Amino acid sequence: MAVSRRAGPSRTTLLVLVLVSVVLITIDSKGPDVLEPVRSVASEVLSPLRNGAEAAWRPVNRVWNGITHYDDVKKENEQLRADLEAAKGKAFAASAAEGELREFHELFELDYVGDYEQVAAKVVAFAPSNFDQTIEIDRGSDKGIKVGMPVVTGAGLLGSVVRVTDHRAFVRLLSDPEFAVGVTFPDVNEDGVANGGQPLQVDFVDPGADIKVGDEVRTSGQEASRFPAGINIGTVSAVHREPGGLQLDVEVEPIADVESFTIVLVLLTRVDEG
Amino acid sequence: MIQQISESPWLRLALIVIVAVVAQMALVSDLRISDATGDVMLLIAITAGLAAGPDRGAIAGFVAGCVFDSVLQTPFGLSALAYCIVGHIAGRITLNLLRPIWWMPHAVTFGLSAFGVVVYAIVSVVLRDGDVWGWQLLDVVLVVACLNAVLARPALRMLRWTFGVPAPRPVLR
Repeated sequence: MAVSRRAGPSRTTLLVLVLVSVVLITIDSKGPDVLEPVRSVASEVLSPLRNGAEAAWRPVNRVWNGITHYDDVKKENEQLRADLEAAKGKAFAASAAEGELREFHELFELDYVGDYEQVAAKVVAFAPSNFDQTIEIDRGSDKGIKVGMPVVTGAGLLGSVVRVTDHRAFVRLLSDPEFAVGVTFPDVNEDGVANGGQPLQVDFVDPGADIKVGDEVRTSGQEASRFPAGINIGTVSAVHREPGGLQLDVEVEPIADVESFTIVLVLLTRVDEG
Repeated sequence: MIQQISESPWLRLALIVIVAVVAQMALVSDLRISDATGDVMLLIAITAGLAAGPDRGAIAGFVAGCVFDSVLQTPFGLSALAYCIVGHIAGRITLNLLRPIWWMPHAVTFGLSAFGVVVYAIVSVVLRDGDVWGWQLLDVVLVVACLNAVLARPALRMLRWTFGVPAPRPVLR
């Protein structure tokens, strides 16, 4: 590790680079459009290389996943069989309840999830960084997908579209700290705002609300929300009541398991009008 | 073109960074342990500093970070900021070593990788107002540090080639 001392350590270089980085972060925070050309060029250049490398790596990746996830897959298979039996019984009751829910939303002129066209998309990649909570799907603006549209699985809300190219879109997951969605607790008729994380943190909940662990949480669809009402989000995993607190601290475990799906649905909501 | 790459350290750096980001996207990010994945872009920054000193370490970290940021949906410049700091520190550590020891690159890479992840997490919390600590940060630190420590030797060799720095003779103890 011997290095010539001729040049010597220069803090100037570091300072300049730190300043440039801060400027870039500031520019990017002003709006995604400013640095979008850079991301587009990177995407165009790197996508073919990435696809080639992935194709070559796939056999090794399968072996790795077989080794590291075998027990998980076995348990998941058993759980899925049990869930399937339970779901058969619930399906009949759910269809009747859905009809009632639709009538309720029509009565209060709320957008309902079933009112929108849906585009099915395949998950093609997870983010390559530990701190980037996004996924990439194989449908883009050519299918009518726009930034801000909700993305769901059969279980519930997964996230929303954060960036779109012609044939691809990037979805910010519920676990991302920048994610936020208006929610409602149907069991107690209370509303709040869920902020991204693992688990989700719900703010602005009335401190007197009788919310319990296990209560369902859904999108509220109120006011200028980008998300229609009635999408499942998850269940309450913890409730913290502080004496004299102005709000109830509620934690929600998302129902959509980020790692166990390959197909998602993009709801073509009216994001431009919102 | 090949001759240009072989002669210019900055073109060689560009080539290394592109290979690294493709490897990160296509290979490394799929090999997850406890939901955490390695970070070879951070490895580039650290080994550039170890191979060529603080200035080049910072520049390599900045370039690697910018390229990585261009494929992520996190704020552009976040990785560049964290990696240029880590690359600079790696270079300063190298300058302060009196004699090279064979295990030192692995140990320094382990420590600086852990430090780099924590720096990234802190900057991310400040900028994004989010709870990064809940993201199994310890798992991420350990996975990134261990993988980078294992890959330190070949990466160091690549970065020495990139900047045209000869390898020192190791001191066995």
